[in-house]
Amino acid sequence: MQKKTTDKEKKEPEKADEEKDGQRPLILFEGAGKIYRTGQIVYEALHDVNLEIMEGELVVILGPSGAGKSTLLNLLGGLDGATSGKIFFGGEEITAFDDVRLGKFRAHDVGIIFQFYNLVPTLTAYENVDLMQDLGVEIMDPLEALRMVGLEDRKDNFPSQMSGGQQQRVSIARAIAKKPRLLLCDEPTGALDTNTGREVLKLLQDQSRVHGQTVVMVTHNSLFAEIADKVVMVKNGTVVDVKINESPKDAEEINW
Amino acid sequence: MTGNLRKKLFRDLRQNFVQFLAIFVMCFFAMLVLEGFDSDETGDSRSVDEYYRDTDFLDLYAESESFNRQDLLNLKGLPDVADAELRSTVNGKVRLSEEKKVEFNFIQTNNISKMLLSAGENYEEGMSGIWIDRSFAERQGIEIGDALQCVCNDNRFTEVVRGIIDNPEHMYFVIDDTYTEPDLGDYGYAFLDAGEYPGADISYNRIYVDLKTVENQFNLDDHDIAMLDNAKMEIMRALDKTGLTVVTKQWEAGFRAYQGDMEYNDTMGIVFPALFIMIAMLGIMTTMTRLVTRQRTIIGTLKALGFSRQAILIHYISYSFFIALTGSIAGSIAGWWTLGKTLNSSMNRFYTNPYARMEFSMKPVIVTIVIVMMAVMVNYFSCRKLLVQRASDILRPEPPAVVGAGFLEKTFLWKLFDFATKWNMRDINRNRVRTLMGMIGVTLTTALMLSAFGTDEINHTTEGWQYDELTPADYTVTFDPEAGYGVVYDYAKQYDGQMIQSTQAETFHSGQTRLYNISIVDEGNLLRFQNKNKEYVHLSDHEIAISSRVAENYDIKEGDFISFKFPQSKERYSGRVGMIYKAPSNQGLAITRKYAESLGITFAPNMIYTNKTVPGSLEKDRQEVSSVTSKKAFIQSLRAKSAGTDETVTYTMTLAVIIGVVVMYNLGILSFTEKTREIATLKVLGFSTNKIRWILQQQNIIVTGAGTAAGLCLGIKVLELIVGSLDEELDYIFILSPRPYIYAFLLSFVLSLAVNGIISRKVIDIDMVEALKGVE
Repeated sequence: MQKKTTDKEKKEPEKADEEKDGQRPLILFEGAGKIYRTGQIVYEALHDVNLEIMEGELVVILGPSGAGKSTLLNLLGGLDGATSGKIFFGGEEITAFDDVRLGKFRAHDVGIIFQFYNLVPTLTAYENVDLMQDLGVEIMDPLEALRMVGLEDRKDNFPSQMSGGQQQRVSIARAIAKKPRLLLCDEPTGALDTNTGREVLKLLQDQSRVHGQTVVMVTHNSLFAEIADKVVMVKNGTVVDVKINESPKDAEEINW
Repeated sequence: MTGNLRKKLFRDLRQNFVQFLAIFVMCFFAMLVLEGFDSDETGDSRSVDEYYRDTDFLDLYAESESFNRQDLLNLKGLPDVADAELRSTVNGKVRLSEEKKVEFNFIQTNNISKMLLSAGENYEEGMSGIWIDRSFAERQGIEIGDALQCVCNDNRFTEVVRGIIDNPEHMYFVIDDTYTEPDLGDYGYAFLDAGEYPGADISYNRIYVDLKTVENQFNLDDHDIAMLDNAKMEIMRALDKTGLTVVTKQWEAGFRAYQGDMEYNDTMGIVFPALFIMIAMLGIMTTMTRLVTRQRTIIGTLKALGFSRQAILIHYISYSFFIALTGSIAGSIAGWWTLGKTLNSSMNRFYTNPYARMEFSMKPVIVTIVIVMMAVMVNYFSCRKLLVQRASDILRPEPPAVVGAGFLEKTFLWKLFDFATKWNMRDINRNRVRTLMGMIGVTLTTALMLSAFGTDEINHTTEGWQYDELTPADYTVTFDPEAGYGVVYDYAKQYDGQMIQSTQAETFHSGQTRLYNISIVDEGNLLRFQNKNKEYVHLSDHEIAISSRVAENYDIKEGDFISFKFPQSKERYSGRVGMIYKAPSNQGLAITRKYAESLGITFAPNMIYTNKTVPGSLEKDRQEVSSVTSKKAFIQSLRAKSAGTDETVTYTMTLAVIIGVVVMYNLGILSFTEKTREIATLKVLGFSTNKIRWILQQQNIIVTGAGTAAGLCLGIKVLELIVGSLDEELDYIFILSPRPYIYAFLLSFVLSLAVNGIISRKVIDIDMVEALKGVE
């Protein structure tokens, strides 16, 4: 259930559409829910989630461990399917997509940055970025992507030859190289030290501010809310609060 | 597959080099063995078929003391007979630097079982001169135009060599009882026109028949055999002669020997490759399943990034596809050049087939496709199992299997076990499939080793069985058929020997007729008999003894009746089968002299067995003595014959050991990798490296023990299959000494312990921090 906390409170999706100068939300959750079943055990990870995210926003999803943040991100990225409700992306209902269509959606529209980087260990930094080209997706020059994350000189290194921060930056390069409309980040700084984490956050913020990409970041670190355009609070499997940040800080300004 | 995934493929192959090499090696050896046997067998089968067709190989022949032109005309008049020709076959000698035995064949026409000219001029009716066999000419240095001094029926005559030839009937040729196996070129055969026959009147003792209803080919089907049997009956009725024997082509000596060897090779060519292929499949299944499982996160990532299920499947299928394909192709090529060549040359030692060659068949192609398909399917299903899940599910680590407490854990005994035993029992219980795969690997390896060692022992024990246990005579003397009882008796008395009448007889049972050897045995202890348990048994004076192969072929049991007749007479003798004995060769019937005489048979011994030294000069000096052969000479001949099989078995044994090491190492490495985290935990808790290695070795001993026990049982079944496929003339008793069992057991065990010892050395190198880190 959503709680309204500011003037720019969340409204019914249709009304919200009308209010934003005719701008339609990029992402729309309508009563989405997710239930996991393992044998006799039934676990409701998310229930009745209503949420909208506008194009170009940097959204931080906050919540304690087990709150359902990652599940929300998985549903948004088409990595998992909702068991109830609907999710729209750019006006299309992704909850109605089949496996093939979902694959195409992930390949073309979504860039994912994982907490543990999930690079292919037997490919170099350059090849990990270039891998997206194998999907038939038009991407920028992998070297350019690596330059953007400051790893141009490590292009021939394998993941095992790089630090965690460097691997995460390769992961970001891989995600941004195809210029996706939506960038999803699951605890992108979770395995990094503060300085490296700040660099990563800066990169993500730039994607939103400079390149106009929508960035959705899941984290348990509430300090990150300061850099977000919108903060979504998740607790016990539902969205409990959505806050619009009028003056988000620069990533370099925050400390933890 | 796209560029970066292709790079990933090759780097993954390099990173998992040992596992992929193991798969390659297993496919390689499986196909090496298969192609080795198959190329020889296919070449043998097709070349002999062509040889028989090109030379119009006989469909059957009639044998008697004498045939005349009228007999020939009678046969030619039969509706099924396409052609027939008379032949006089007589053993004689040719004087070279020393006298050499030669079988002379006097012919009128050369239309059936024709000579195949290798050099010189073709035979035409009425031509003078002699056509001599190729092996004999090569070994004795005989050339076209040489004048050969021949001795035949006490007549001396000289003939000029007109041609060097091969003849299909003599493809497997043993001139007399002096030789147990062919010694090509030491004796020979020759063809001459009937007009060259030395002496007054030629006596034809054979008529060769070509049937309209049967082709000349080697490979006969049931219809051909039925036609041959019908024709045989017709011919017997048409000739109606005393002492007539009609032999259809499938009972011709060369045909039978060749067919027997081919069947043996055929079985070996199925059994051993089947074992190797099973091992290869096991390796592919375990390795590829685990590889896919280990790459779970990467598969999940690829799916999350948007790679289609098909693209990921193709990528992972490529691993096993390329390895299985290259291994199988390389193995096939190596099989042709190694085992195939060896087998082929061993066949050529005993058979003179001018068309002999190795040939490629579709079998290895089909088996390669099957191996590759199975490898692909294993990968497909293990990969698909993951890919049907949502990307988010694949990215989560696989939850550990929920396994309840084992039976022992619920008993009071559990408390008595030390930590190592408890750890191992729980590990086995929780990883049953992995344990089972390891056990199957050991089982197949042990079975393969026992099959190889067992075949080796069976081949070699024949020597001792035949010449130490069944005929422990130091010398065997054979006599001219005309020698007479008195002469043989005198020799037996002089050399304290045992007299035997050994001759061919037509045997009858349940409407079937077969040619077998019959031994009429006088008193003595130099020809002995054993039952299937290798216990000595004595011939009865009131019953017939038959060899187990005869019993199998006729489906006769003790108490049944069997009849026989000698070729020279029309008299048929019938008796009750009182004993079934086992003999490695020379299958047939045996009766005592007393029993023979009670049936009205006149005892006409033609050989004696003795332990006294018999001078070899008797063979030259005494006309009545056909041959004097020492036990040593028999054994040498037998060893020469088994040399080819020995090479094959040595190949198989070597391959069994190599593949055993590969399988055990591969399964060991996979298992060790899966246990790395547990081992790291033990290390963190303070367990010493040696203690951990001993825990791992303990589990290995349990798995190897169970695997070797099952392997020995499987190996016995495999050996039974091999022994069952032997030529009808051969019968090996299937009682092995403990040696092959001990060798197979010890070798499997030692290999397993050694391999585990090598792998467990990696315990030292385990980085506790790295091993206990996150999911990756």
